[in-house]
Amino acid sequence: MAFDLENFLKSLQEAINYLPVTIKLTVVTFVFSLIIGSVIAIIRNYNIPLLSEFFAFFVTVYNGLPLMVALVIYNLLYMNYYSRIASFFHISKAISDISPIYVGYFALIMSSSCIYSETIRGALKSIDKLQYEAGYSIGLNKFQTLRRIIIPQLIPVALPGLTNNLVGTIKGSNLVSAIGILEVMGGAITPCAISYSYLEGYLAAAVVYWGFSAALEFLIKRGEHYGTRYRRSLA
Amino acid sequence: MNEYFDSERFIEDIPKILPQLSVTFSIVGISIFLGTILGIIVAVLRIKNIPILHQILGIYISFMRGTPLLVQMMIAFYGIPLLIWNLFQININDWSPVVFVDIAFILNEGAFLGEIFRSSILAVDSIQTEAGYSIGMTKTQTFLRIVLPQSIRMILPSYGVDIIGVFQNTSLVFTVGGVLDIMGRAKTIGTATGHTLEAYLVVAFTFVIISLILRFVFYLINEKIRYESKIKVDKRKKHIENL
Amino acid sequence: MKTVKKDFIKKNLKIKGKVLSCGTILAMSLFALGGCGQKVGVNADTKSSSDSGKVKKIIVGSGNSYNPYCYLDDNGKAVGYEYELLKEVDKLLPDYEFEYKTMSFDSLLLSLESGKIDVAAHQFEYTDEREKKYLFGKEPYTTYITYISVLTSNNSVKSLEDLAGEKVRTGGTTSASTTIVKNYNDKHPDKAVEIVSSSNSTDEEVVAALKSGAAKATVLTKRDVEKYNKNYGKGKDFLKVVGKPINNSKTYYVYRKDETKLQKKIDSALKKLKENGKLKELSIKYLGGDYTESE
Repeated sequence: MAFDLENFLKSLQEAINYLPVTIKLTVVTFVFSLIIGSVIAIIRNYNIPLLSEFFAFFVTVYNGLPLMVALVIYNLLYMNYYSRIASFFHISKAISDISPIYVGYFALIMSSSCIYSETIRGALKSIDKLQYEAGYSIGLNKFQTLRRIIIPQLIPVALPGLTNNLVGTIKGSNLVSAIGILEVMGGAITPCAISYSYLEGYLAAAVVYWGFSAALEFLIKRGEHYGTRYRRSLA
Repeated sequence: MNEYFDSERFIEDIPKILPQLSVTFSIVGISIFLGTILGIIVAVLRIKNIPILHQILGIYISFMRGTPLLVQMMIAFYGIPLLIWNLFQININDWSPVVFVDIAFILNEGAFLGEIFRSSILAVDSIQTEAGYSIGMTKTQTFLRIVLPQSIRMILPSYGVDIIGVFQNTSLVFTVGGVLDIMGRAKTIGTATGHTLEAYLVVAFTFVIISLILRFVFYLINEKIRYESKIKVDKRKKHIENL
Repeated sequence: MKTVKKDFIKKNLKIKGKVLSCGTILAMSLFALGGCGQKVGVNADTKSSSDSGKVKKIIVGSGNSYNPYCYLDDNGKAVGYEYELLKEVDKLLPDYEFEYKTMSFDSLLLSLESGKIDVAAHQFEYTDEREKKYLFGKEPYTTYITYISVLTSNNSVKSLEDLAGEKVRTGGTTSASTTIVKNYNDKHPDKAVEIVSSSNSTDEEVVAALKSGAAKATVLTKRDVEKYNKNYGKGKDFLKVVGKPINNSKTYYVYRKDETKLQKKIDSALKKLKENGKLKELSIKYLGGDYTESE
């Protein structure tokens, strides 16, 4: 049972073939969760009467649900109730045309939105109240202050935390293999069923994930370096 | 919905699933205890900046943080017997799969906690270390008596979040095969009786309730530790309001 | 000037340190993994053949999610056809003592190879890929003929060719159905079917997928189809088999390649059980019919 280099390279090739699936899962989740998470964080920050209490409760409870448990439950519900939901919403697509990856997207986006909203809310809290007052004092309304003054100050503060969360999302996209969706790990172990050399397959998947998250982290750090190029001279 | 989800089956499944929480808690307990020790060692070694060890630990931490826990568990499950056979000629075919899961969790925790400890230890002002040296304490004494207690206040929030994260990560161990924690038991109930949804819902409720309890416990601990900084903030607020 | 030299040395050391550390890690991992290259299970076999007079402990592995062959009852004990049959085999072999280990299906063959178990029992069909790595028993104990199974309302699918482009559910990654359908895909790339295989799927999920149309077909034996019809059909049959068999095989116990002595002994025990009718009796009791020779 020595380490087989040929099987490792074969698995590596298959894993990279499925990298687009992981990239799609990660990027789509990131974009949607960022939007939804920011909305939740802003609502909670401004203490809008009913919604902020609801979201506080929802985020606290949903953060307690692991992604894997949520995935399997959504998968079961999806397959049993799709017909009822589709007729309720008058969607004419048959279930066989919808790829099961949408269940994965739904679970990932729900989970990531709650996590991102916590990070963004923490960054939002760190911005001094004086900035809001400065905006109101020159006649901007709430939305304009947010867009022109708060959010530009928010991004460099939130970026390290969001990078961490992005890596977490990449690792979360790995779990959709439990539903039967083929991504990097699923692709890496398909040759293994024939050669029964699982260690090489999982090592290949690990290498691909490691490279992908290292590359993303590096890119974001470069972007952060570029983005805060005027701020650095102040410190 | 009535034929698919039955609240009677839901209640029946509860006493079947909850006993397996002992497996879950054993994994969480062992990995946090040994993971903390490993994390302290990793953090201290990284802070000292020993040339080659620093780089090796950097690669180890980057690997643990960049790869998913599921893949790490599988590598531990398939690779460690091979490793030990090649190095020591010992056949570890009697070890239960929980041991490999524990090893994967400990290594994972060591990396994450190592980074948390390192950043919070470095965040303690260097003035404190100089103060320690100035009254004649050795390096180790300053570290243990002055720097470490002050860093704990910064570690505790992240540490609490990390522990809750470990607890939620145990939902993955049933895929390794042979580990019967609450998720594994739910799946076997599903295959034995043909009704999986209630079992998984029991598991979901268990996770949410225990996570909420843990969050509340850590909230209380953090509040208790923060009491001095709370007083300072109030004083400053009063000063600004008086202006 | 001194500081410039110091910085240069530090930078040099950092780069040297990075290269050296990468080198050491690579070397350590290659040595540790490549090392001696011997099979892990060899030790177990030499151990078992050395003491020939005493009762030898044999670790038998089976699954926990295949009703009615191997599953966990309400108290978490492993029960099912496989376990009962193994107990009967154990009774006939006085110089072996069986100890049972329960694990998920996908880790059975791996545990066999690494020496965690000595016999794997989970309705294993014969495939060429498995034959290359493991030793099959010579005596089968049930039949296992798999067909394409579709909903009774589906009259257009008669073989794998009719399913080109559709989703077909197979077992986990190590299941024989997955390997066979994948081989079919490799031979007919223009008529390939989309395989949905999940190691964690339960019967309920497969039934829900078929009923709702998320998957067009699955690969099952006739008696599994009867089981689904009974448990999920609510009186009506909703699943049927079509076409020629995908794999016409019987089930065997699986051993490591060098365990010929163990294989011969268990084969002789199985033969005895067939002759005295005990095998048929167990099959009728746990599987609802005699599936030992025919389907």
